[in-house]
Amino acid sequence: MASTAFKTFSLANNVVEVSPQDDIYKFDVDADKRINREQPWTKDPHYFKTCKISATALIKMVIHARSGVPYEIMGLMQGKVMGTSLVIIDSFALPVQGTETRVNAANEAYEYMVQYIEGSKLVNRLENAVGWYHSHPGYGCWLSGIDVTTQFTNQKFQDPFVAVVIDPNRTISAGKVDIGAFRTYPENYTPPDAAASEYQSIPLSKIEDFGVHANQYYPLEVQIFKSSLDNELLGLLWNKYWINTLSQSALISNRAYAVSQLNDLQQKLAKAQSSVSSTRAPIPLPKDDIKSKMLKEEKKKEEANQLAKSVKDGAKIATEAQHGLIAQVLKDILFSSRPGAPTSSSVSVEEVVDTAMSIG
Amino acid sequence: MTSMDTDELPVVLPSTTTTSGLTIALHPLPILNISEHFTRLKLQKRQSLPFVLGALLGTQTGREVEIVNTFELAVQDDQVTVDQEFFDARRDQYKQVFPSLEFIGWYTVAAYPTAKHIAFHEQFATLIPTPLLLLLKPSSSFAASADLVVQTLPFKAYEPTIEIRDRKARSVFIEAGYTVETGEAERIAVDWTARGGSGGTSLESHLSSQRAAVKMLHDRILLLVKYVTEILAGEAKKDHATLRSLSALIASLPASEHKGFREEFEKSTNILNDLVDKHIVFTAQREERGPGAGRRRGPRGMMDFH
Repeated sequence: MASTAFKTFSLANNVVEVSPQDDIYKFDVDADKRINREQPWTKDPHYFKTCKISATALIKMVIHARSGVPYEIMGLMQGKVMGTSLVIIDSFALPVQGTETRVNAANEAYEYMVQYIEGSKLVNRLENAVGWYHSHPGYGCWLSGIDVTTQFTNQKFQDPFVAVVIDPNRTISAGKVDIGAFRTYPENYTPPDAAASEYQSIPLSKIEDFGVHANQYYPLEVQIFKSSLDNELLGLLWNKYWINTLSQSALISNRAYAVSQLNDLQQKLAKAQSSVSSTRAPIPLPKDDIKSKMLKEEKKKEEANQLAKSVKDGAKIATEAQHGLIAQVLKDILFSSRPGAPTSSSVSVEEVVDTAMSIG
Repeated sequence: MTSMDTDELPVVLPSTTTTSGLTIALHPLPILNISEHFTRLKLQKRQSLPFVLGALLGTQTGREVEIVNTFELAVQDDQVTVDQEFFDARRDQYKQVFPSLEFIGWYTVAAYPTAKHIAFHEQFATLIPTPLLLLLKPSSSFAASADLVVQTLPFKAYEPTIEIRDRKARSVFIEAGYTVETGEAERIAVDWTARGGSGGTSLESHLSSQRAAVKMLHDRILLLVKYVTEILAGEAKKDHATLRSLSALIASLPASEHKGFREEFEKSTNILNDLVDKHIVFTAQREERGPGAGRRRGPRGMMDFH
């Protein structure tokens, strides 16, 4: 009885049931104006801590990144600031490619950007541009020297602004989205404690660019959000595409990338090997030569690190190969075994999984 | 043709008399885009059923259609005319970044097509011959049903056509079936967001998605077995088409006993296992890896370096 009354009330008064989860999609014009007036981020270089990305924005960016391989693609993101979080509600692609060599790629697309954002207002997309994204196909999520310069400028003139990087190749081989969000520090600011970031494998050709600029920016924690309707649809979608999960094979679709990974690993190992052979056992030195001895030890540590890094890279390649193999073996067992006959495949799933686990 | 006529007659032809010959593949991205558009308008206009209109982008070759992406559309103040300028501008912008995608139809939110939709259809028909209509059916709850077969996506696709009745031609819609297709990057992104986008080791997430897929397969097979048992017990009616496909399926298992295939498969398994063995050598310096590495070495003897 009470529920019917409530329903009639809702219909008559057009009461909208909004689940609290969907609140984030509402654009509060006043709150937005207020925070853009106060600009708390200008007082603290480490102000922003998280980057919340909506499901649709994320999927669009991943698809765009994948469609551009082997080129780097870029686009813009629309959203708002909420507390110490940069919230990305939507994203759109820009008709430019290959940002690595052109700092001002964004300028080419300027007209496109302006028109698109203006047009968005007509369809109730009220959020402003709060960031840009681009892809690093196969070489990981970090900011190159040019990216850092671009982002410096962005944060100077368009703040609040965030830089997002996606690696579509690693996404496919790892089976999960490889994405990073970054904010640069202002020039002449040294971060108090360079927190050890999670290790990621960088190809030799890029490693110098990575190292030189690594301290000029910091990563934000990436969180994904979706609406209540999204949740229901995703649950229903699973009913349809679980077939693709079983039938697609990462081994085949990512073949070229896997080969290039192995090549790169081989080069890194060659480098490590040559440096190892050139070190010799430390000769006992007189006391005043202690300083140079310490320097030599530093260098030895560095080389050992090089080898350790190659080990990690190798482990990653092996893990991804194992994932692909697990999928293939599963399919083989499911669809090729005859009831009663012993499994003819020479490798069973348990063995493969054990190995994958021992690699860690 | 008077407007009274179209109001009285249903705008959708009953699916018993005519079926669409189109094969439609719908990607997850348009589904989530439309959901976001709807949620956004609901919040901004504070209505439970705001008017939503947008364009479908994709490819169409012959009777095969693939719906890949969408963008929103604006209407003019009269609420019935599409803002042509905005449409042209946006369509050109999408053409610049996704040159292979074409405008293939439009979407809106409604329980079923009405005369109002025919009016919109006529506007789109001036741009392409047969614009598809994709409807999102709004409902307060998508009724969580225990029977997994009943849970379907609340989207319906319609193909426009002309019906000739009493020497008068009018536009109508016929319902068209669709399947869900995804690209691999899309599937991974959708999967990841469905799971909240968190980490966990990659092995965990890989295994759990494989497990979920295998469980679905298992559930579906159980359903089929139940159906066949009921037929044998005389409880259910024999549907010959289903039974034929079932026996064709069973006949095609095992998927491959072909000698050539097995050789290739074992070769690739061996190559990958070699790869893994070599990496175990790297990490074998640590003693606790002993048991894992030892087991691997067993059947193959000591590793050799090629």
